[in-house]
Amino acid sequence: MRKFSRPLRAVTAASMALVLGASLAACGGASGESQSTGEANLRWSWWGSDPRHAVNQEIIEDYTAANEGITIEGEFSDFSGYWDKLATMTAGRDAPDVITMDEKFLQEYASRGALADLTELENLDLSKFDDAALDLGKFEDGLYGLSTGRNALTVVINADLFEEAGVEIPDDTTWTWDDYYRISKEISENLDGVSGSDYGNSPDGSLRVWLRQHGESLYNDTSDGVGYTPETAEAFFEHLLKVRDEAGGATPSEWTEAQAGTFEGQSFPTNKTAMSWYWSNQLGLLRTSTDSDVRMLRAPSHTGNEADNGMYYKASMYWSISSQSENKDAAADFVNYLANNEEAAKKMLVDRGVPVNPDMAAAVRPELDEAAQSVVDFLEEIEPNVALSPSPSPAGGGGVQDIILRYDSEVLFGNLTPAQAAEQMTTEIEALIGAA
Amino acid sequence: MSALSEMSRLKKEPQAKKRKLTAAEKKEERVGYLFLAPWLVGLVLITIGPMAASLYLSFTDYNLLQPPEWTGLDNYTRMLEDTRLQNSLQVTFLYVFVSVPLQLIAALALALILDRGMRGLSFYRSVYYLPSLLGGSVAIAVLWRQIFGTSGLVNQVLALAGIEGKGWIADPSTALGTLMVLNVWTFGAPMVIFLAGLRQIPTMYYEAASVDGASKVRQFATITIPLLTPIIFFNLVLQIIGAFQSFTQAFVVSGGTGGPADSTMFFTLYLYQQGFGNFNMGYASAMAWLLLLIIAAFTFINFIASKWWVFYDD
Amino acid sequence: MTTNIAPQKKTSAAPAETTTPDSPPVHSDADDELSGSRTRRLIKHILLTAFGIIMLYPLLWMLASSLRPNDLIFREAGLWLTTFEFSNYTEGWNALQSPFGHYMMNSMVVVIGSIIGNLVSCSMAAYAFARLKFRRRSLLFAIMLMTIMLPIHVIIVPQYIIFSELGWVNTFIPLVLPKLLATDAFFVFLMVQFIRGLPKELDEAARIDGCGHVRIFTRIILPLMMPALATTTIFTFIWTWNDFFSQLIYLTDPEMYTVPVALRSFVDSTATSSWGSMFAMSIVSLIPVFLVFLFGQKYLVKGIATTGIK
Repeated sequence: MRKFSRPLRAVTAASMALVLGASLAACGGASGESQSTGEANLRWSWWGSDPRHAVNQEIIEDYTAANEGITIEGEFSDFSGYWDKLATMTAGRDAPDVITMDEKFLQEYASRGALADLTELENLDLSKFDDAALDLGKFEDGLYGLSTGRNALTVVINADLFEEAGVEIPDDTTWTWDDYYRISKEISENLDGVSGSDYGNSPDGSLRVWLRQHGESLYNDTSDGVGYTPETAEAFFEHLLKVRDEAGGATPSEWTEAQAGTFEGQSFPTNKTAMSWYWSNQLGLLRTSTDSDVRMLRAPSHTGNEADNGMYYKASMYWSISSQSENKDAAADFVNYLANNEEAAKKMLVDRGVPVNPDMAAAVRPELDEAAQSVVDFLEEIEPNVALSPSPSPAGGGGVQDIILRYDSEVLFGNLTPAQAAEQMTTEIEALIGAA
Repeated sequence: MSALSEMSRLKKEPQAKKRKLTAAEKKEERVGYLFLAPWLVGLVLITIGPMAASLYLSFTDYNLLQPPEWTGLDNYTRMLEDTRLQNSLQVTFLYVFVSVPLQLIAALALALILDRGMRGLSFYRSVYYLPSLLGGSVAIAVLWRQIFGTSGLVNQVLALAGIEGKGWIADPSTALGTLMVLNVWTFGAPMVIFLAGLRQIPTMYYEAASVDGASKVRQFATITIPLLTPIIFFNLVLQIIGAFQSFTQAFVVSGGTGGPADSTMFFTLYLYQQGFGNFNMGYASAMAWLLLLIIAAFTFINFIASKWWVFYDD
Repeated sequence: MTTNIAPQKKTSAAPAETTTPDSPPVHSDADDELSGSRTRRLIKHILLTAFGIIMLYPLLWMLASSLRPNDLIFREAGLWLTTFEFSNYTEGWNALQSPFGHYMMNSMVVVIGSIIGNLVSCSMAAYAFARLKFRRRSLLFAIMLMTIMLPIHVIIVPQYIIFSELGWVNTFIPLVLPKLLATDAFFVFLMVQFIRGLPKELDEAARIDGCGHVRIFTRIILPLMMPALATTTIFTFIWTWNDFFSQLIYLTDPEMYTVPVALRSFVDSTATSSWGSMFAMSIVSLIPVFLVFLFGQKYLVKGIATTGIK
């Protein structure tokens, strides 16, 4: 019994050895490779809600039925729990073999050696993916995530509310920010309890579009600092104030309330806002939740030329393979199935973005409902004007979205001037990605 | 530490009754460790290791994905300059000082009312405990908007009185207040503990007092409250610890952001964001140990102060 | 009113050793019904009910939401139902890979293991801290308190690594074993406070009669701390039943998921969520907890007060 009262040092040392031992083992990197695809137990993780769990279960059943000796265990949780769990499992060298990845964390995991370079895995056929699509998953020279499909941040409008307000739907190939403010203001004036517009639902997406319109970007090319000038960021915050003060935008508290809430509780899905910003894959959802005719429009520009609207493609999610996996080849074969097999594509449809592989996009299209088809068409229509899409967020950038949202609120609540916000936000973002 | 003085005080107490031999004392010590055995095993195998690990990690740069790198006191000096951390401390202190007393008063008052005296109390007790059953359910996130949102219940009630409300939950000046209300509203746990404590007071004291003709108020002041002090003390200590660590409610209600504008950014929420959102687990560990020091200090003060107001029957 | 003015009929003390909580409660909640005027009681009932409605609002709202179609949950506020949609229950029950009852069974296993663990190990530790003298007791007590002062978020990763090395991830061991080893200092401290509130003459009398510590603990202390044990049972049940984070981290196979993890699987902050199913299953999963509370609180009130010891 005496042992227990000894100084903590021994225990500390023991536990340290355990922690370090496990972590140091992580340096080993690509060990246990090249197992034949003959037999393997794979783990595949994703986030989402029950319809997605059911679809993925079907995919697993299809795949394992056709590939004897392979078993796949699906692991799922909600979005925020997913990342806590993935980080913990990776720290414990227990990461799933096939990982669903997000743009925010791709470089975080890739730069720390937690993901395998997909170009080195022979079972994965990348020939149908064009460079632009592959670039979305690149870190340095390797490919660490394969886009599941693409989305774009678009202006969404509630056409029923437009009609009720007697406001015409603008021509989105030529409209400008001034049109946007004017329309928003008219709707707010003509309808009771409806705001013309709000401040968007993707804080980083809206800022990125704005910056791209000025030929700038959120991060610089080397992913170690911001890629914009303080003036442009300041102008963005001034734009938010303009929406608030001159364009009949939603009150800051209404908007903040919606931001932290659930998707379905936000003001656009509940018909309280006529015009907002959403990712293209959310169109179908917006139609069901508003029970109205919701349409997508291109972003307005400063020049009235759609080529200057700054829109870009984002990979909805990525397929990644853990560098800790002992069955990388089997995992690659499964990812290949997800990315290049029509049956799998028809199961997933556009839930994870519009497939980048053109064959898959073609196979999926006839299966889609009208809303989803219009998303596919819309993304094709804007393609000529989408210049280079941004690389994944740099390591450390996982928190940037929260930072931008916070400064949006600080400005809208009048706590900071646009200039102060631009300056502080830049410092904070640089500290975050510089420290990583 | 905190308990040292407490315990040394105890040790000196009644020894008079029986002179004990060293052998008997030795035996008692063996029995003591025997009773403690499960806890000691758990401490060594499960608790101390991870605690020590987090202490070590607080002196490193650890991003979870790569081995930690020793950085000495960097994490601690960085905390001095971190204005968001200081803000989160302010938010947390305000929350602790306002919501803990309110919650305890509500819990004690209702425990006294619901203790005994009329029919149907067991039903009321269950009903009053219900909000606490919901815990950190996601449902709270939606519900709190239904109550404190711009078009929520509170504003509807205010509108009846002709007062125009506001978006309580989304306004930086009132968002923390709604979380305090949430905390007070889930007073079920301390209430149950008070109820259990009330039932432990031997009735003989009341009998004796009523024989002596003491009034109910007097009995309350001289019997109920003094005999309940160990439980009041327990609730006070644990609620303070719990409030300092408060996380789930702010996380759920603010969607994990601590917003609007950091107004509900509790210390642990910020710590969690640093650890899991920004992959700064080393920094998060340092924050955790700062929190431990703060909580330990408060607990220590509580134990010292308890000498003057907590009554033990031993 | 607020205190009991001793309506005990049974004043003679039973010998301490034979006192058990099973002896019939001498008075019920309604004992004092006779005191106070009728109107005063009526007012009290009215106030308690009014306040009760406020307390019940969230549950009623959840119930209402569980009976609404998914897209109406956010468009219709309040409790009034314009439609009555029971399908959330049938759909929610079958929405995940296994019927929802499967997850409830998993939770039940974890909960029961945790309750047994907490009751046995925490009461033993509490007895040692409260009644026995041994060296370094105060140091160990302080360490015990310290273990609840660190937030779980910095503990979970090292702890996960330990359990992972032992090959226990994706089993219930990491969730139950710590409870068997009294790592929940909250309950140890709670029981310490209760034991210290018990008259010490009881165990001294027993010791003079030649009882050892094991007998004193099992025959005197445990029965007398029934309220604390009931509290521990109820809280362990509720907190384990609701504990999301550690269950999320340690359980990877969906077949092993417990109720809180399964409930979150209905919700996706970025896309469509099955709110109706989530609320319906939340209601379903509240039933066992509510029953445990309703049943368990009977034992809360079976304290020393009702057994009339001297």
